[in-house]
Amino acid sequence: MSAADRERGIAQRVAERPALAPGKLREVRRRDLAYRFLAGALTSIGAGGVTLLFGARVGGILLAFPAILAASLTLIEEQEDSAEAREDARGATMGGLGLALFAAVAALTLGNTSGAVALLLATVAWFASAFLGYLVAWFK
Amino acid sequence: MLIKGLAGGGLVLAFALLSAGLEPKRFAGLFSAAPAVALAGLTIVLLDKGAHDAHQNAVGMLAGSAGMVAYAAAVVPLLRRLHASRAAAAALGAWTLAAAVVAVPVLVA
Repeated sequence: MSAADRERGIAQRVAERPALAPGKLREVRRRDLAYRFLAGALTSIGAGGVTLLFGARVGGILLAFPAILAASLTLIEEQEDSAEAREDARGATMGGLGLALFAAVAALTLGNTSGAVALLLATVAWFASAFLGYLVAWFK
Repeated sequence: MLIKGLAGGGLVLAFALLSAGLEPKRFAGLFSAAPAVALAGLTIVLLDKGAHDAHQNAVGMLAGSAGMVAYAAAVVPLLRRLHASRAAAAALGAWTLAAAVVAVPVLVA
């Protein structure tokens, strides 16, 4: 199958109903999970360090550093191929828009309501906007 | 700092597992931009420093999330030309540029 045919095949799969396939979890290697844990841990520590050095606003910039996406792309290309990695990145574009809404809702609500409620509202806003964006842009 | 690292790593792992079990890949990609690090970081700042510092973190995050959108958009064409590790590294330029542009008004305000 040519690369172009494969790309078309993947594009058609976008119309599939999103679903959880628990069997795929058994294919995930421990090493890959360790990379992702490390990416998240280092980004969190980096954001904390920058906050200590330059203040909370500057440190906050790193809370949206693409460490998880970068690690995922490398692992997806290794396990599947570049076309699947591109698909993941396309989805992450919509997830990134949701992340901006997460930050906006958190900035508006933190300090005006309880911290738990503020983070819950921000998380709901992230998922709702990313999911809605996915449905509107790609799901036919 | 260690607790932040453990919490951030743990939440990233949880979202990564969720993403790995989802199909199609474009839908799973939504979770590659999940607020895992942000949730861990903001929760610990809330508990340790209070709502004011967490609010400041969230304001700064607006710049980072503009960078995340630019990163994801830039890495798609880069993946056609480069291996994922190089494309992922090259796209950091887009993250830095977009985050810096939005950071100027965010940090000045």
